[in-house]
Amino acid sequence: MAQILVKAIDATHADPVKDRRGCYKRGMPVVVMPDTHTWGLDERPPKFVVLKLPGVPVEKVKKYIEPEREDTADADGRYQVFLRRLWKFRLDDMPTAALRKLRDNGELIIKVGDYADKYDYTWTQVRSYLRNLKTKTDETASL
Amino acid sequence: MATEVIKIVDPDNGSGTNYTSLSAWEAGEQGDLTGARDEIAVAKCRCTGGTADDGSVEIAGWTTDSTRYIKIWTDPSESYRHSGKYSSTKYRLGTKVSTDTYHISITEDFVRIDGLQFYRRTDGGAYSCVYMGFDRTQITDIRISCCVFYQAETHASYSIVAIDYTSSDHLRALVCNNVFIDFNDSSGKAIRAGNWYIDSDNTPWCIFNNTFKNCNGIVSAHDNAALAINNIFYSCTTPCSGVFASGTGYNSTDESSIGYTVTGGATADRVSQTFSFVDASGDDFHLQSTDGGARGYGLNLYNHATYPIQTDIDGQDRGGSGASWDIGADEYVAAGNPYYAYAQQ
Repeated sequence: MAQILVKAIDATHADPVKDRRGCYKRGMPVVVMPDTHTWGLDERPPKFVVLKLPGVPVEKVKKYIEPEREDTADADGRYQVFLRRLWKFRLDDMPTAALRKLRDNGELIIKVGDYADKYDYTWTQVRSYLRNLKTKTDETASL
Repeated sequence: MATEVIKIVDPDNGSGTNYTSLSAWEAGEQGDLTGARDEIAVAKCRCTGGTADDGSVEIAGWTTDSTRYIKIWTDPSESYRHSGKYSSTKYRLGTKVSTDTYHISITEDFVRIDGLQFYRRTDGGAYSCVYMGFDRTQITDIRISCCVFYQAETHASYSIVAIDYTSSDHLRALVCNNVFIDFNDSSGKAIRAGNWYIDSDNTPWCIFNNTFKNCNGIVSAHDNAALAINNIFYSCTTPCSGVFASGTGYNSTDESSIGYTVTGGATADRVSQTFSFVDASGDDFHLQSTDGGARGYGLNLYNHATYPIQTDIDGQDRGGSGASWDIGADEYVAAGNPYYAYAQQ
């Protein structure tokens, strides 16, 4: 039962390495919470939007909040963060109606599997806007 | 003068909550505190329904300095801070996920963490509670105070480190008034301290007035990286290891040795001591009035040149610059003392 909190505005840093490793960019997923979760006063536009995936277990979408890590370990054997998030929703490439809804309501409801209630888009539609920033390919996996 | 901008973090989304996780706060507030914002960014953590805050938090992508820093804390005037021992109803991190590499990773230079609880679960990986990475080029000021660090799952082959750093770092840190419990994996430890630029910076980590129970306590990762004063090592087979900075001393243990080498020699250490805690089996390491192992044997750090401290884990005043301090995270204060009443709130 998942909701994904997605950063809606860029953070920037003058140091390009710190910017890449540290700064959330528009479209990057931040946290995943269960369906029942209610969000705080600042967890909405303009800073964030929410993608709701009713009925989808949180564990199934947690991979989208992983950072991209370095390919080689440091001296301590740890794999440091290369990019703040491996995945990013290409929000600005989404249909105008979807963008308007995110701007006005702060959320989209995504139908997955046999979910039968009201929804805005299907996962099959939305996943094609979810880009793996390392492989530069869009998501094709089902949930 | 920088303005404190306070945001409420509450997993239970009580009245006035800005963010429902520390991770979301970090994402929502990250930026340059030194420019137009001219700000101290404060996350005031609550758990109005007792729910834990889970998720790995990475503090990165900010710009901070010595007067415009990041502060993550529980306000002692509210009811969400622990009372000096671990509580499963107070604000805490790490209860649900065993595979997070760290609970909080700090890659910024000026950060203060105060009054949190860290519940470290593990599946056997090399994990930590607070991890300080990496590649810093300026002198930092990172302070971790009045926290409870608790390792929930232990195993001889595990390697959990409560507070860890990366080897290439340029780090100055204060770690004071904390309690560390059960960080005793064969490769694990409570604190691994290091300032890779110690030859040019010459400031070790200041590790003052902590209480360690059943831990491999403090490791000085290279010579003179740690200055340890006024720490209790209770049931710690290996209290310390490595070469500690000059001035280290006033540490107390029930073992026959602290275990470290101190440049110039340690001062006033106490070994083979017997401690009287309020409830050691219940992990309450407040000192009793009858304690003879730590009470009154500490060094007064009220005017310490690098990191002066005045209070204990409960926020109780340690008695001023002329007082005889207790060793460990707790300062025994008799009931009736005005500071005792304050700390009980």
